[in-house]
Amino acid sequence: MYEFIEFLIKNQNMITASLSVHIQLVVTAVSIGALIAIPIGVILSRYQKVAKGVLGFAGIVQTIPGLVMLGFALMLFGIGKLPAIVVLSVYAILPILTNTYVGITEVDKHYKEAARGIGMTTLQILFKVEIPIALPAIINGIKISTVYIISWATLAALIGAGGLGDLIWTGLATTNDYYILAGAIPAALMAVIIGAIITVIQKLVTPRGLKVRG
Amino acid sequence: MIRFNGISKSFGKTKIIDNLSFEVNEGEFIVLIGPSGCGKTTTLKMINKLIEPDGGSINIDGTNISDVDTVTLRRKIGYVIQQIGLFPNMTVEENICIVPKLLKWDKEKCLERTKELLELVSMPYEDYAKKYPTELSGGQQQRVGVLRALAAQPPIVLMDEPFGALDPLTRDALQDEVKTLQQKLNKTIIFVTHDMEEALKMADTIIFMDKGKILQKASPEEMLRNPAGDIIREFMGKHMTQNNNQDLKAEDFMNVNVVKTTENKQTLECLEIMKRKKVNSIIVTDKENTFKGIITIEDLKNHGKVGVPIGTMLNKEAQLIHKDMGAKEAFDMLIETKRDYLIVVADDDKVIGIINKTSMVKALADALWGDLECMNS
Repeated sequence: MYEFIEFLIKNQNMITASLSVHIQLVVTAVSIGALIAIPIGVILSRYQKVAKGVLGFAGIVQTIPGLVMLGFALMLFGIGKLPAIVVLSVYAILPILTNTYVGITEVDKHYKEAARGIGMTTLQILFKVEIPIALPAIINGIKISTVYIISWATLAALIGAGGLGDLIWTGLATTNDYYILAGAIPAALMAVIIGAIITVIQKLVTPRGLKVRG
Repeated sequence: MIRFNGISKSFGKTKIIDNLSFEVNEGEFIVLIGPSGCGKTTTLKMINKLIEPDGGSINIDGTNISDVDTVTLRRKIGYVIQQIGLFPNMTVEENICIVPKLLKWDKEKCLERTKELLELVSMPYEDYAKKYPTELSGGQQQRVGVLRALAAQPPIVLMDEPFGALDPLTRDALQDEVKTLQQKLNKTIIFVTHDMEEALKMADTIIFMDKGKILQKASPEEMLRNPAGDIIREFMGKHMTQNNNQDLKAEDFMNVNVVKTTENKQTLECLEIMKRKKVNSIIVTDKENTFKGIITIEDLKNHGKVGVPIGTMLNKEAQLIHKDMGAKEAFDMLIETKRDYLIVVADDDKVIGIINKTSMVKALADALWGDLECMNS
């Protein structure tokens, strides 16, 4: 235990650097994922027939092992952060996409009809009624994505993107438990903490009227 | 003000609206009523273009609404739907001010209007403006729904079964409020319901629809008096009977709480029953409930002996009437014979009720003021 703490202190710069790269990877990938997934989710909610196909396809993509995807990305984009971010973004899309789609389609049709009936335009209905009501679901999708990408991002070290994965893989390669732990523990903590932060944000943006149901 | 000219609409192969023409005057409270699927809601939704007709035209103040921009048109027409129409992500104030904001009213004007409107339904701004719909009762929610429709001062308000989901007491109160508001603000209201009581209470004119056509367009009074078809008569249900007193039978207004006993009971028992029920005579029947006679307090006093069955001293002078006897005849008989009550019997002299002056008063009150539903209680 003592030796491990000594190890951590000795390598704190390296660990912090890896952590910060890891956070960058996650935040970038999830942001890109959300920027793609939310608009597509909204559009899909308008075309429910197409939606089934698209969501099905996205589900299949999700089942491709991360290593395979990283391999493809490596071939296409070479080594470094870019291929990692591309792959992680792709993985980030599905949970956000599904939640956006479901969140919007589940907005009670009476609200939409009332909104139309009192003279809101389609865009006003989307931004004033549908998205606010679906927002908790959308943020939940972002939360699922983030927690998920934090763990996937450890793989990114394999194609030279850095991050906490670097420590883990080094540890595995040299059978040094301290390296593995120094990568795994911060990654796990990060998942828990960021998950909690998003939950708080979710509560803050949910209007009181949507919390007290019944 | 609003004129339907030969409107038709089909969904698939089903004809929902069939060559419909009618007119609504300014300030009129029109109720569209009819069985489910009669096209009343479709008719309503055509006015704010939520549904487009296949043929015919609708004019508002002489302008064909298909020539008017849909969004502009809707902002000039208030719209109230069942309870759920308030946006759950907005406060009461935000909900009320949606249309004024869409119309780009400035903030102060919105605030002033919200206060003024909440005042109208006795929901103080300070207490309610910042609440969310889920924090209000059903009745309060629908009050806000009505206010939202009135907010931008539209001359026309459409209401689609607005009180359907409310409990009877709240519904009653809201009906009164809406009726008062309508008269005070001189709005033209088109109101859809399947509840005839509501229609009779609210409407200046009732339009009864069936299978996409108008069966009758008349004032509540006229519709009650001359319903233009069996289906309307059926819808009127109990409201009809009160206006057809000729058909009212003894059975319909008799009191079924009869103090009865059987002929083998003895004097003391009878006295006990009279004391308990606070009556001075009891109807005596056999075990099959067939009328045998009555026994009065005098009979018991004059002839009663302890241990003797009352069968021996029955008074046969009671007046029996058949359950099908007309109301007027029964009342006349009650008054002429100067009896306390008439005994109503079924075909084989089985006792089913009595008619006394109280039943008479109740039946009369009922005919005048509607069903009090307390006749047999």
